[in-house]
Amino acid sequence: MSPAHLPDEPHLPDEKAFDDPEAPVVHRVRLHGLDSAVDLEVLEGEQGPEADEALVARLHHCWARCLAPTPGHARPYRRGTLLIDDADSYVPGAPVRVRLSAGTGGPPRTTGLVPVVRGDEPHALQQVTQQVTRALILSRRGELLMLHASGITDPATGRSMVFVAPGGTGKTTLARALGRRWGYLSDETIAMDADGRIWPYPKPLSIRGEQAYKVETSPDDLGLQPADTPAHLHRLVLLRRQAGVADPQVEDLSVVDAIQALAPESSSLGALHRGLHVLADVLEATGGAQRWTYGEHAGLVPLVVQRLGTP
Amino acid sequence: MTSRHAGAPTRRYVHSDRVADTLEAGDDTLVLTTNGLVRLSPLGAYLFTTCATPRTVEELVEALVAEFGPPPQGNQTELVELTLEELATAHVVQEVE
Repeated sequence: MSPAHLPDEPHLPDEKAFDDPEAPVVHRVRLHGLDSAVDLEVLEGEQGPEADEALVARLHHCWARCLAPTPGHARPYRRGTLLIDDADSYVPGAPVRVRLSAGTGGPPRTTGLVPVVRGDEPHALQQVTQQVTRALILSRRGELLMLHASGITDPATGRSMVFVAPGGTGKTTLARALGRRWGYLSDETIAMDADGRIWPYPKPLSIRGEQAYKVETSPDDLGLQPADTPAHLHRLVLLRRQAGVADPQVEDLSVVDAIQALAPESSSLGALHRGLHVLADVLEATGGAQRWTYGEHAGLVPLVVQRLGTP
Repeated sequence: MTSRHAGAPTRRYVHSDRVADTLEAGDDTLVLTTNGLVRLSPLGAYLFTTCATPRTVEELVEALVAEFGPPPQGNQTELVELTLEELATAHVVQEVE
């Protein structure tokens, strides 16, 4: 397997710049999201070429929605990744690397300045998602308002709803439930300009099935709708799941209350010039945030229909 | 007015280097630092605003009394010092020599 062709722009870093002599690169693929990109390199693994080819095929399948630049993309990329455990070490242009090994592999290891994900396929795929997400977020640090959120968009108008919630509290489940009717923007990170333009990140979804671990799953396999129309924020919602709530409760939040709730669920807000003002302006332009307290996701569908209409 | 640290070098307080942004909305003041978001009390907001340039505790107390009059009860200096300590812990203000 030879390295995949990469476009001329931007220039890849010199291989010699990284202290990673362990294995040759057998495949490269550029992944897009947040109107940015990160290169993913598959290293020759310990399980043989067939396993490497299967990994590459699986990566392409899972990341099918991120293989092309975001519609409307019109700026030079400033790609990058990070040194593990040191968020200040931003390395523009460095790829994320993945290598199949025996066993589950453990946490990513930094070789030179490049995070290398190791493990069997399920664990490697999961860690690839985490590392690519971190790299993309860091590449837009100081440029976009970024929230831990899932999002959907009306494919006809681009009006979008963003659902902010801490990890493990239902963003992915909600994206699965709503993404079959409206366009899938992301189940983890929503990034927007100061004017509310959203730059999608339709990443694989981590789904816990019958297995003991989560499986990276393509949005195509879940029947999620594409988000090809330029998306802009219509309403921002803070989710609070509470057992026993039959009918969802909707609460309007003041700008200050909303910012106080949103700040912990943001990425690099402090690095964004006048970040609090950007967030306040976005909130005021979209009628302020709401908190939806709910028991089951199905109960939220009518609320979304009220705001976006039926797709 | 006597500082709790009489004899020590005069401490002055100023906005922390870690403050990234501030937002005033109605009666609320939010301060975003590299450690997170802080919602200030009215006293905290007054002290923070006044510490745009370095201020001693004594200067802050005098400014408070001039603005709002003497406190109905309690020791204003202790209250200011305690509030400044909280603001410093939250990286909203910092001490300077």
